[in-house]
Amino acid sequence: MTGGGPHPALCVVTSRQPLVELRDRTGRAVIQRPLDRLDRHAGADLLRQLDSGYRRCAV
Amino acid sequence: MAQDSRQRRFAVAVSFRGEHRRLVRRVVDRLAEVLGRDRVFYDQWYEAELAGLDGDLKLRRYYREQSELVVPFFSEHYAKDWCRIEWSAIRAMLKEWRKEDAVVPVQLDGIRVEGWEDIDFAIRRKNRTGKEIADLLIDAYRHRHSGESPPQAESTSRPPAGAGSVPVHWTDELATYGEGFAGRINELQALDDAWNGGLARVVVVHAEGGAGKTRLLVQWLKRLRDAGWRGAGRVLVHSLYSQGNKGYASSDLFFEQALDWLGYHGERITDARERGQTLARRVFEQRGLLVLDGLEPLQHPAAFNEGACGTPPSSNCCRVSRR
Repeated sequence: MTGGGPHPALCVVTSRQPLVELRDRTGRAVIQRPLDRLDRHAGADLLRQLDSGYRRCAV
Repeated sequence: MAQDSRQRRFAVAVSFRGEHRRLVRRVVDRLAEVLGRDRVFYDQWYEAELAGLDGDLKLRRYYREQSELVVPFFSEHYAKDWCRIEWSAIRAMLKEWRKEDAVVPVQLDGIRVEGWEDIDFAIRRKNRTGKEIADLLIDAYRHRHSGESPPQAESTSRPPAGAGSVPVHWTDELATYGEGFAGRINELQALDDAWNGGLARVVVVHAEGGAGKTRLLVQWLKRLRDAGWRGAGRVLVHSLYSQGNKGYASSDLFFEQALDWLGYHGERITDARERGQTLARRVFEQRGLLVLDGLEPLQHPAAFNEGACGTPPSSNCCRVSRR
């Protein structure tokens, strides 16, 4: 079932905790996904980007 | 060397503090009626463009390089923080284009803003309405561009540039978020899959504060925007953090804004369930992408009532999607 075209409507939610109201519906129509910590390489990459941003601001 | 101002993207760009948003909104609505919405730079109409890295640089570019007339709203709040960035760009423009008279401030109180001389012209608010201020600005704009054909009014439903033909409403709170991004390949793919014809109608990304939920969201939305929104009919991005993230919050403001944005102009719906269903139905019918960032102010603490929401908009989206 779609919203009249090739793409369905979608609701994306972020929260610090799962939505208990959707617990019983979680499956194909409702995805509740924990966000894991960044892996070591991605974390280092992000820190490098932030450092470079701060240096730019300081200049 | 400054380029000819008539080649610029915006006829008028406004710069103001959030405290004056209500007044400024009335001003820009009137400006848009007369000049056309895509000729007026108002931050909320260009949230998608401002999102992501270097928001301050983008703002400087809009004011200095892409606007014919810049209108800062001076007040006691103006010389603080974010507005300082904007004002430094506007002052630089003033220096370059003094002959063109390209800056016309609106003076909301008696404050003197460094860099603006008392002898220079400013519109004083007095008891003027937003429309009256806008009409003065339109006169000022036309006076500066006399002999040129005035731009024709265009539909106010035009989307922000860069969004193709898709109307986009992007909340302030996400507009400047997301300095830097790395990793998250699987998460971005999961969101893409959900949008690209998957069976999912609701995707909830949850993690502790600071884990990068909003950063992920902004990155995904930027990619989707750059791809022309991939079939979306409407995009509404809202942050509940605007209500403060401490304690329990109300969803009334969100529903009011969202229903209005989605074209519901009927009587105010007070029943939470009916309101949620109406919103979900409209999102569904318009192939909408509804993004709610930071839902936790609407949720009870996990130790109380299992963290249930008071009025869960997302569960109502789900209900309609499964009709």
